[in-house]
Amino acid sequence: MKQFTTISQSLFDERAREAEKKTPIRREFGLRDIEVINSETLTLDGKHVGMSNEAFKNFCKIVGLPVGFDKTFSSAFGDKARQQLVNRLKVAAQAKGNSSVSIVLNPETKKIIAVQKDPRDLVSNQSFLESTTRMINRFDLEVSDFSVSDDGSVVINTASPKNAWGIQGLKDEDHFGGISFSNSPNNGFQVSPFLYRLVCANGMIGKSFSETMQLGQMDQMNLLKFNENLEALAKRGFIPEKFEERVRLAMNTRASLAEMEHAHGRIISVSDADVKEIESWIPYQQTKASFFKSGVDVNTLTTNQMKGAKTGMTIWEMINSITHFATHDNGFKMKSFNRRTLQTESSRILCDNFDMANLIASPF
Amino acid sequence: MAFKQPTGQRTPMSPEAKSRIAEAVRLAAIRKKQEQSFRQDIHPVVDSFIDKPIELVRMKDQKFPDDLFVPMKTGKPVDFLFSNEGGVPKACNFMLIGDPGVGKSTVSMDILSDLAESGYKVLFISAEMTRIDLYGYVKRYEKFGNLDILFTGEYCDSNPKSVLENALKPGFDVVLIDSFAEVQEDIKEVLKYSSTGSEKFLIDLMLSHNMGNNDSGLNTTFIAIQQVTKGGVFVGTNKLKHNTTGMLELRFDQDTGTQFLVFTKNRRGPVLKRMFYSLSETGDVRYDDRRFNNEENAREALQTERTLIESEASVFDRLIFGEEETQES
Repeated sequence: MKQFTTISQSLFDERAREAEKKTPIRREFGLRDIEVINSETLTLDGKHVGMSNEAFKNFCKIVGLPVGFDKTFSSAFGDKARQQLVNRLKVAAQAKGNSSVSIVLNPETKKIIAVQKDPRDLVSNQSFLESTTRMINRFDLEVSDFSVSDDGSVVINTASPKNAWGIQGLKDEDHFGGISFSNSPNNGFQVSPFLYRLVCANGMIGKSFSETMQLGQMDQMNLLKFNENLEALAKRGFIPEKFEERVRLAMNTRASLAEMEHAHGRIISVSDADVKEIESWIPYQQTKASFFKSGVDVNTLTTNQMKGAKTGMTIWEMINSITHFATHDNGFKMKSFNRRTLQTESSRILCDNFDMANLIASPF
Repeated sequence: MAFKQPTGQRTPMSPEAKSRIAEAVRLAAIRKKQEQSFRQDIHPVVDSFIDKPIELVRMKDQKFPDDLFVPMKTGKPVDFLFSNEGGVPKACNFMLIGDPGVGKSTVSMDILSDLAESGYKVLFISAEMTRIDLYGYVKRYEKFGNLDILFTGEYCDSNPKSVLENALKPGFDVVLIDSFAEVQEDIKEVLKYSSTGSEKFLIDLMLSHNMGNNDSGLNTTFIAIQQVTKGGVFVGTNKLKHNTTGMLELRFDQDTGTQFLVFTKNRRGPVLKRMFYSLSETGDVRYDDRRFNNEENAREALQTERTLIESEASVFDRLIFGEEETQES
């Protein structure tokens, strides 16, 4: 059995300082002081400031422009017309009483990374760390990972090694739970179950489980509800309600070729590993070759056909491959934030509908 | 129709009217006599509060023993509501109001019992419940069985002021009155006092014992349950409000239906901090200190966040507009 590793207090403190330094900063502006130039720039009191695509989407949403529509509009009428539309909608929003927005800035790049209705929609990293530290102490959790990304997003994975639990009747399925805390300009303060599989020391961030909570706007009621839900999760030993059921189903369901291709692609997109190297985790090329051998040209298959093509790997094996790749240092270059992305992706796969789960046995 | 011209002669008074006036004069004379008698018999310290010459006080000239400022601990989380130091402060008067059925008597008797267990001398003045009522109560809440209780209802024919003065004379650390309005009503009824007069008597008596004017020299703290109007508003004059150190309210949470305590006024401790509690079957008040801490943490986090939002705005301006201004200058 592999050893559960935790980070040292000095590393935690170092990361905490980094998180505080990178924490995005907020300022309220009246809508009348904002003018959109294009999807990458706006003016604040006449000063040009760059913005991310996400921030532009936020702004469009606030003024009432449906996400995606701006692109359609832009391709039909051009950027200038789109700019005019967004600014007109801004004036209309002002007339409806939405007089101000909160502009979120990355202090290092001086670029706008989010636009929100209220400054309290974002939780500072300082408050996030204070709350998280308090919860870590209260629930006696061990910190296994702490990462800070360039835009000031923070993820802290914790586990409670004292509360190990197993899935009845299944060998090697001993786990202990914990909490994954995250804070980002666009998703806010979130907590999700964190699952640690003892046999391979793989970690999974259970964002797709219903126990995941988002703080939303920072006010007294939300904070209390957030804490109460967290306590309820702790009382259950941090085990997501549907976990066991999903694991059993994942163990008994083969991955489709489409699912395998997706998992393969996700690993490649976040690491410098090449196609062949990933075969040890997700044998995608090998599986494709097997299909070729049996006379199926997988390159000509439609998406739905890919979803109906059964592979030799179960969903659970595939999930464990992803979490293993994400959790351990296998000699590939991968940003720690991307590791968290893969750990999150694995829980999404576990909670999602499996392509092969609904196959109906034919009576013919 | 023509009116009769006034003749200047009075209509003779009926015998009933004469008798009513005579009765009113007689009662007024009795009341005056009783009030005079009360003022003569009154406890010298209470009297000194009434007829005291004006005295300007400099606090630097005042001397009180350090022990007076050491609060009395119940050992329960409710200590942190009563005072900043934790515990029921000495020589104070607390009024307790609350929704019907919320547990005013139980919670206050629980506090009193805990203080008694901690070694403090306590007295419970029960004007609402009889021995039999409380007997049943104690069966459920055994710890209340050790309290010294004065049932004022058993002294209906006596002078209530003498009853109270004599009961308090030995000196107590904490006295619980259930309820202030009932005791006040007894005084009004027997001594024919006005509401203000009876309230004044009680307040003066409490203030006197706050100052340690009793046989043991104990600076008594009073916790008095007070009745509320149908709208849930405190019943009492401004004098009562002014002489109250803290106003403790017991309410039901509208969302969850659970009970909580909150000080809406407290000169010695925090206000508007809710402490949720439940009444156990075995006879104890269980305080939800975890929820209390959560609320405290949430409040702190919000305060931190508000401060940060303000400071971030100036950093934002410096980063975005500051450089331009520097270049221009």
